[in-house]
Amino acid sequence: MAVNKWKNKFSFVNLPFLVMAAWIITFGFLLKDDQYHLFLKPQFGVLIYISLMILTLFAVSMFTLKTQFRVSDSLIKGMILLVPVVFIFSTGDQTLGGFALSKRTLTSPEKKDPQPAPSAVNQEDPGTSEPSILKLVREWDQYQGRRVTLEGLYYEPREKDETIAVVFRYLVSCCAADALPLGIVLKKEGAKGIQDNDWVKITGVVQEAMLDESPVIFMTLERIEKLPLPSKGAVYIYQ
Amino acid sequence: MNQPLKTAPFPMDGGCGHLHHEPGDSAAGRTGRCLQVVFLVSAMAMAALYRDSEAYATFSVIFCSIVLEAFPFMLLGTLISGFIEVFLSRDQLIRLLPQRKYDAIILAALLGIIFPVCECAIVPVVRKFLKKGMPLGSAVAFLLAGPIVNPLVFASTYVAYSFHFETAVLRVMSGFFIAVAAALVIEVCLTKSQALKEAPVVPECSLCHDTDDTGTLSFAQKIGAAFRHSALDFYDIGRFLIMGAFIAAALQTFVPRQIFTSVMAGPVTAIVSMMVLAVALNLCSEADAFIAASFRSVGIPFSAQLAFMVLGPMLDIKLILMYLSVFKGKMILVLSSMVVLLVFLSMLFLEFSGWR
Repeated sequence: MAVNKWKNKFSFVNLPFLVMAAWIITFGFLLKDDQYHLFLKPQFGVLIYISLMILTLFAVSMFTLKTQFRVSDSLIKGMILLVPVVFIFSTGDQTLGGFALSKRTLTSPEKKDPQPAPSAVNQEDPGTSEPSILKLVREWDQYQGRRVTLEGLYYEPREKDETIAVVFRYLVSCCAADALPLGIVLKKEGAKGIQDNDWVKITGVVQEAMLDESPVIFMTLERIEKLPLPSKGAVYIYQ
Repeated sequence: MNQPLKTAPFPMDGGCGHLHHEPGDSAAGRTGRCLQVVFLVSAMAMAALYRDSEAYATFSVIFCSIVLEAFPFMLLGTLISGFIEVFLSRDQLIRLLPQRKYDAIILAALLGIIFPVCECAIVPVVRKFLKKGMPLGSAVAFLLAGPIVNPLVFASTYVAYSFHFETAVLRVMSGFFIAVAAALVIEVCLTKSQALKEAPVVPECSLCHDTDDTGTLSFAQKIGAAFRHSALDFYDIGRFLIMGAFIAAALQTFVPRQIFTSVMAGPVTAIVSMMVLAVALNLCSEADAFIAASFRSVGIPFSAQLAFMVLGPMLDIKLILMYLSVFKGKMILVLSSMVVLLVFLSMLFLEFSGWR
């Protein structure tokens, strides 16, 4: 009896309107300070504006709808629609880091003959380049054997080899869900005092090496320094 | 009039929010409601208990990314569906389609060229088309082919594969032929009553259901009605996207991708693994080509990459959940099996025909 009374009272609440209003506030939050860059590539800001516009129209249409909503199903639907809102606000300024890297690293199923890790540096000193990790990977032939300086997130993938570390960034095509890690491997003994997910600048000579019987870009580390994260979305390189 | 939906594990409103029936009173309805409550409790417990862990941050970023990327397209899809509901009558739709059902299937599979929608937007549109009387086979052809046979997906594949024209063409053609084949089989094997969820009929509700009688409304009233339908469609279907995105994010967060590549020594296992990956990752059809292309560097056969790009837009976790808003369980099972089988056989043929 009491439940029915509560249901009757509650059925007058326009739940779809409230849920849509909550989403409008969330989209406003995402647009403020470009918070959506943590999830989507910057060019997709237009999609957020489109969503905001459509949701506002939907909310207005719901506000003017004179009808009662069934409390049970309507409440469940509404609460499920609000789940991402909770996660968006609770994520704060966090981005994908080393944990995601450990799940996204791919090596070839076709094993190649192991080769020794590089020890010798190119005899000539070609000077130091400062390519982005993306440029280094895409134009590898130009950088092999050269001294480079790079910035990225630092991570020690303990499950593979306890002596190595990686410096990496994520390449994003559309959203963080499709982010691909791009990085280079180095010996962690030269990186004392650096923690997982620290933003670092490294200098050294890059060569191809074999790790777990797969080819990787290896840097003979000469210098590493910890830097503050340059911006919220610096971890991502947008394609 | 107020009949419960006996076969609906996830009860649906008629689309207008009125008190049409008491959905979910059947055993299946109660199960569906329980599952949704379990999902809600799990999600909230996760947010409350694991907020400080890096795994949570990873999960949260991926989950929100999938939702935020799909949301605009889903909103557009429901907006279009609301306007179809109010402005397109059954008679008009039937007149637009070719009389011969096989011609209608082929035409529907090509609709994406002029009506480019991704897989998140297409489900509410197809739901509305079916309600308006579109033949089942044609609706399935549009549903499966639309997210692949369209210029945006062609362009993204072309760019992802370093402007390799043949790859983009092959993807679009594979999508087209597989969608047409699946649609033909379903047209022959299943009737609409076997495939579709029963929609409650409420004659006195003039702004919802069949709106062939909207002739009495002014243009402004029709626009208002279209928005109300759209909003309630979104309110009704949105949960499926969110539950699917949640499962996909959990898989992306906790299952290493290396597991899939480590079993890809031969072409057959590579195709199967990439198909499983496509279902698990739930990527947008406009982004998945970039992921597929990344598998080139680790020696995954081209046929397996193509399997990933063709299956993903037709079948993934969030889509299966969204299909629940349109189809009965039996239909989803037949459709899923058909698509999986056709993609697997096509890619096997491609592999052994020596195409690289």
